[in-house]
Amino acid sequence: MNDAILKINNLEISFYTHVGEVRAVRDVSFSVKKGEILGIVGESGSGKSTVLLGIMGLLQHPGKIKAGEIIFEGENLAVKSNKEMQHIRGKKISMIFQDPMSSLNPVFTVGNQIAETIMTHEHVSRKDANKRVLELLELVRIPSAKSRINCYPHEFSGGMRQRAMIALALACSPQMLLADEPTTALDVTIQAQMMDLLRDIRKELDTTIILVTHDLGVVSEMCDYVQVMYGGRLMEEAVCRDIFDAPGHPYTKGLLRSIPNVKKGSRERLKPIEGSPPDLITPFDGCPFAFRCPSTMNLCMEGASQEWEIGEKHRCACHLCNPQVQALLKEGGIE
Amino acid sequence: MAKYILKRCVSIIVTLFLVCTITFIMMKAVPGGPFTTEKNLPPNVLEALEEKYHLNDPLLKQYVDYVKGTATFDFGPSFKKDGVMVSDMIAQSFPVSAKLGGVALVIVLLLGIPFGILAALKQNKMPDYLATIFATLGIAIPTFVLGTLILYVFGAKLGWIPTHGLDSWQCFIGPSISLAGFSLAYVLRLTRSSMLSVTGQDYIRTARAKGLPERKVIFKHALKNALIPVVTYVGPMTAGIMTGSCVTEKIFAIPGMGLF
Repeated sequence: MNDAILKINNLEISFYTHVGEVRAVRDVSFSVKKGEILGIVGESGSGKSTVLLGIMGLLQHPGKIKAGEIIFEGENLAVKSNKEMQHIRGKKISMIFQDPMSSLNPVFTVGNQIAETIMTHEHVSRKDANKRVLELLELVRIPSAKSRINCYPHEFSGGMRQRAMIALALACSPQMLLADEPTTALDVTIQAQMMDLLRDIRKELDTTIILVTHDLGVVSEMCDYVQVMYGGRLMEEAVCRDIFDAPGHPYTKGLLRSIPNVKKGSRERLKPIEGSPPDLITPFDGCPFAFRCPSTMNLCMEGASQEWEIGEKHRCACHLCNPQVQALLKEGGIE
Repeated sequence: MAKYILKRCVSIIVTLFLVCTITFIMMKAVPGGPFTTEKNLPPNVLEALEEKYHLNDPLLKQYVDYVKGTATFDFGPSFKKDGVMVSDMIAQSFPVSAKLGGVALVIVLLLGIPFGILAALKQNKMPDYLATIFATLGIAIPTFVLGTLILYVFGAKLGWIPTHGLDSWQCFIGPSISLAGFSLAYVLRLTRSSMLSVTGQDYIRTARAKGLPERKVIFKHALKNALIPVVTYVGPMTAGIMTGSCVTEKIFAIPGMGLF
């Protein structure tokens, strides 16, 4: 795995609130290869956005990286100071946020905000920076980019703002782009355009992308590799096709079952996952999905499962994937 | 931009005209007049006075004269001081009030905004608590109490500052602080709360994600947004401070506009 651009080892992120420690990310390890699009899926509060903010070093107080390593280009970002991170943020790793409506500063022009990023990281003149801004706006296909440079964000539509955000993120040609639900706030046609754009960018600039979303449709279309997160833990990870064709974890199976079927004449009811996500403030070492899982065993309450290899590049953190447990289940010696 | 400014200027004229008209109608609608006192004046004296000040002209003529006069900054003779024109009184006292107000304004802006920012950045820490205590006191203590206290303690008891007039720079200390007090506290609180709400915005996170140094995030991206409500307040506040305060000028015996 020498070509891994980012490697995360046993990452733990907690929020130290006045009512106790909220363990938002627990023992998460994964790696991303250069030029790959990795999808992280999970419902709200599963810790997926927190992982991204952790990588960026943008965790807000009272959030903290408690343990673990974030190795990017051989350096551990988890121990870097805010000042050191400033040279990485926006230059080597960029991030696109969920809501383009509020993510651009309303009192500066779009061109100004993008040029600022360039001038922060590279010693270029205002004129050269502006030339780059124009190229970037054309790259993200903003129509008549030249006249749009001096527009304020409120003069842009939602889709155009998200394009501008992507242009902003690409300003210094970062190696890695973290996209935190980039399409959630946009309508469906714009969503598809955004996804096309991200795909083209990956093709043209060979940028590694981590895409956080709860839209499985987006994942199936975009990603090379998928991770499923739940309750702060990684549940399953696999090549994109395998997640959809051969899900191993009961949670993944539940997620896939809850996709509405829009085939003509289908009158099937949607099958939701019963229950609600776990409260991460209560200390619990078992599998976070145990309370909602249709095949919970006593084992699940005692401790979360390690990750088991269930196929090529397909790992799943469920006791059901443990060969020993499988053998016991066959004999009926387990509840 | 030029079009916008022009539009605003036109609306100023319209507003001023409406204000004049409404003031005129209200003054005429109220019973009594400038010469109504506890002791009734003899009818012939009253008539002579009204004749002198054109108060027995037809209402419409009075109104037209008034608007015409106001438009040319001719406010007519004073009802209070015999033989003195109102515009002369303003010409004499306004510079005094404006000078004092200017000093007070500088105090408000130079202390209110920076300490407001400081309080927001150190939220729930010592500087924030101190600033909040100070701001609450500033808003709670009325000007006449603050002015009197300053005058009594620093002027009369300690003798550090002069008690009246505006002849030297030391004279400005007492009145400008008491004039600034309330606005300073208000601007501080406004800056703090506005700064706090802005620093939680998504675009501040974007600014950090761009790799900007913290200094730029705060003083460029956050401050420019946070100052919007402050500027909105400072506009009318400036007018209020510059045109003189009756209370402060009375306490420190300053010949400004507030005395009339």
